[in-house]
Amino acid sequence: MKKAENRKVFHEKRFFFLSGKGGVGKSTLSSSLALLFSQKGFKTLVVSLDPAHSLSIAFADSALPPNLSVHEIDIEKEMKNYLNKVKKDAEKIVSPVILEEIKKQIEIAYYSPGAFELAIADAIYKIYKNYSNQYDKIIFDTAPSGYTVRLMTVPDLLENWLKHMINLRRKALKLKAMAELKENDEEDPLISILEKRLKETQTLSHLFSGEETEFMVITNPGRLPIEIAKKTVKELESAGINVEYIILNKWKEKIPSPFPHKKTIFIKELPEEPIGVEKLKKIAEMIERSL
Amino acid sequence: MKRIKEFMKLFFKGAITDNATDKIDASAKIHNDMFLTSVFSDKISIPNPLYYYYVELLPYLAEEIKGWEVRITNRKTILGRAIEEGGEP
Repeated sequence: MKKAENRKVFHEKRFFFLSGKGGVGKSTLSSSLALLFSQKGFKTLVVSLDPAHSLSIAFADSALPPNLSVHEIDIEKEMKNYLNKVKKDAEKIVSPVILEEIKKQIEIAYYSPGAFELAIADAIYKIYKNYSNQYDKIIFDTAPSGYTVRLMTVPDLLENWLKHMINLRRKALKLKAMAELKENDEEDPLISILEKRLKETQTLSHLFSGEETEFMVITNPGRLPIEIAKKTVKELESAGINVEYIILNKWKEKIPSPFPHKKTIFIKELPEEPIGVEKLKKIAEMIERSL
Repeated sequence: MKRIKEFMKLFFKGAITDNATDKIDASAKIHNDMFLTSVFSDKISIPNPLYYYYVELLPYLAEEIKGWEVRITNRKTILGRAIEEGGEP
C-alpha cells in the first residue's frame, strides 16, 4: 500500500536531478529513468550537463522511443556564445575608441572564478524556460558531485548580491538626479539587466527546492563513493534541498544500505555493461520495482 | 578693501560649504564608484564571482572605467574626500 503511494508521488514529480561521484552511473541511470517515463507515456527530455557527455554513449545510437528526447549541453560553447553576444551588444553602444579595451574585458569573463557554475545555472534556466511546457518530465544528468552542490547553493548567494547591486545603483541614480534637480524617472538599462538576472535566480531557487523536483544521489558499494554520497546529501540538505532517494547502483543485496533513513532504489550489478535501449530498459524495470 | 574681503568670504562660503547640491552630487559619485568597484573588483585584485554576469553591464559602463580607475588608485587624501562628502565641520 505504502509502496504504491510512494510510486504515485514519484511519478507526479516533473524535474529530476541525478548527482554522484564521477563514474557511479549517472548517465546510465538518467537514461534508464528517462526510458521508464517514456514507456509510461510521458513526454520526456533527458539533459546532460556533464562536460564529459555520455548520454549518447549510453543509448549507443539505438532508436529512441518517439516521446523521448536527448539533449547534451556543451557548456563551453554556451559560454562563448554568451560572451560573443555581449560583445555584439557592446559594438552598438560603446564608442570605437574604447571598444577593443571593452572586448578584452569581456573575454576575461571566460576565465573568471565561478563562471562555469554560473554558465551551468544559465543552461538549466534556459532548459526550464524553453522546455518545461513542452515536456512532462525533464531529467538532468548533472556534473560530478562537487560542482552540483556548489551550483545548487548558488541561487541564494546570487540573490543577495544582485539585490545589493540593484539597491546601490538605485541610490546612486537617485542622488544624481537630486543633485541635478531633476526627476529620476528614466529606465536604467543596468537595473533592467540586474533585475532580469535576479528573476532568473529566483526561478532557479524555486525549481531546486520546489515540490515538483526530485534530487537523487547515486552511489556504488565501496567506501569512497559512499562517503562522497553522504557528503553530497549533507551539503544539499544544508542548502535547503531535500534528497529523498538514494540510488544504490551496482549493488549486492547482502550489503545493507548506508542510508537507513532514506528511500533507496536498488540496482543490482548486471553481467554485462548496460549499453543501448534494450539493456537500459532492464534497469528501468529495476527502478520501477524498488520505488 | 574690507568690503571686498567680506564679499569674498561670503562668496566662498556660498560656493564651497553651503552648496547643498554639491554634497548630494559628491555622495552620488561615491555611490556610483562603490557600484563600479563591485563590478570591476577584479582590477584591484578582489576576485569577483559574479563577473560572468556583470559583463552584460560593461558596454554601459565603458566610458566610466578610466575615471573610476584614476579615482580608486589616486586617492591623495582621505580628509579631502570626507570634506567633499560631509562638508566642513
